[in-house]
Amino acid sequence: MTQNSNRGTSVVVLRNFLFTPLDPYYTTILRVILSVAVFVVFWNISMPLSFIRNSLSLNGLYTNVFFALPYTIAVLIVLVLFCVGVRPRISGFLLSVLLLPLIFVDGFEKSRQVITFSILAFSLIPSCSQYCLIGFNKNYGKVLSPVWPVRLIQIQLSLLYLVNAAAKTTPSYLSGEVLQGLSIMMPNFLIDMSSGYFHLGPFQIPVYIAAISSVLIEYTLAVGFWFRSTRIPTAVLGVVFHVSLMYVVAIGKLDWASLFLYPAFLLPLTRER
Amino acid sequence: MTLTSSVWLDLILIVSFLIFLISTSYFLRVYYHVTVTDIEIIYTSPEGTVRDLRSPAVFKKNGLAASSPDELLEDLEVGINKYMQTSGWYFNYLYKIPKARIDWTIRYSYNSADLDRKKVLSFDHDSKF
Repeated sequence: MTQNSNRGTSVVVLRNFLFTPLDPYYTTILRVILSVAVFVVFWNISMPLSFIRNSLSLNGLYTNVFFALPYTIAVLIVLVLFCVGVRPRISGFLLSVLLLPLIFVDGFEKSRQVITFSILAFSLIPSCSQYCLIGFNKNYGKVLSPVWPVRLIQIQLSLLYLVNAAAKTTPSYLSGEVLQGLSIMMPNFLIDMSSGYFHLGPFQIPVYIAAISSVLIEYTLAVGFWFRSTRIPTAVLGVVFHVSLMYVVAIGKLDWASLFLYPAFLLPLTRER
Repeated sequence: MTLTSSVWLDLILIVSFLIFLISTSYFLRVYYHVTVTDIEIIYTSPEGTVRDLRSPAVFKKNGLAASSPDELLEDLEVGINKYMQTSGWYFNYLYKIPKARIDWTIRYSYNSADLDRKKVLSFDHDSKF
């Protein structure tokens, strides 16, 4: 009896987690935010990754097709259609297909992977479950969609923090040696930690403390968004973390890509809240 | 409320996406490891006299340092080969002076600053690029 009741509770929790209806208004806001994210993250890309450069046919494909002006114009048109909500399901899917080859371009490819998957997940939401910004389709926003495509975006954000925290949970990283080495070797590290200290204004913080703190913060960011009571403090911590990181290392667009996904947690996207 | 015609089909889609997400999350790791390198360049004349050549600045900081030693060394090797040709070092020091030699010693370590491993790239008059 108790077992059946537990199973029943789990099913209800799972059903609420995945199939609660999305609010069309906030879904539309999230769509606009994701469109801006695409623009920011894919802006100014130029050179394919080395495995493409080394292949004559792939390199030709990138030079003549993906980096050609007509392709850029096509991406921009589809992005605008998606942003304003003209058949956002189709335009979103088309946008993710068009963005796919652009993931494999040198520099910041991780941020492009994150945003492309988010667009793909978002494109699962039916067009009629969102609003069109130019308002020529009156049926939009009338049919509700389940929340699970947005859950995929949320899970991706948590995974992004979790895999990074887990990868850094090693003796060499936590001792500060990796950070020291990175600050010596990497041209985009803005702070020299080769002395074993992280200089913060008048303070000298041992680099292992900076390393341990960053790992703890990433674990917190991976988990904290999932609880209503810790959601806002986690978002504040995340913003402070990413803004601070910008003064330590120019990791560029991955910071922005992460921050653009925060609204997936912060907006009241489901109707039952 | 479902996206497809049934809950089960939705669940299959969700699981498929999750598998994809988890398997590709491996590529999202950044700055969790480092290969530290130090490069020393020795020129040996045909008479056996030895002198240091200054390591070009381009090899001091390397964007691929946040990767494994194999990847970084491969990148360095390509860069060094290219530098030997384009800088005139091969032509001026080796092609014109047979029996002279230039040794690039790359000391490196993974996730530490110990520089406890070493790779040597040697060039002489007969080197092929």
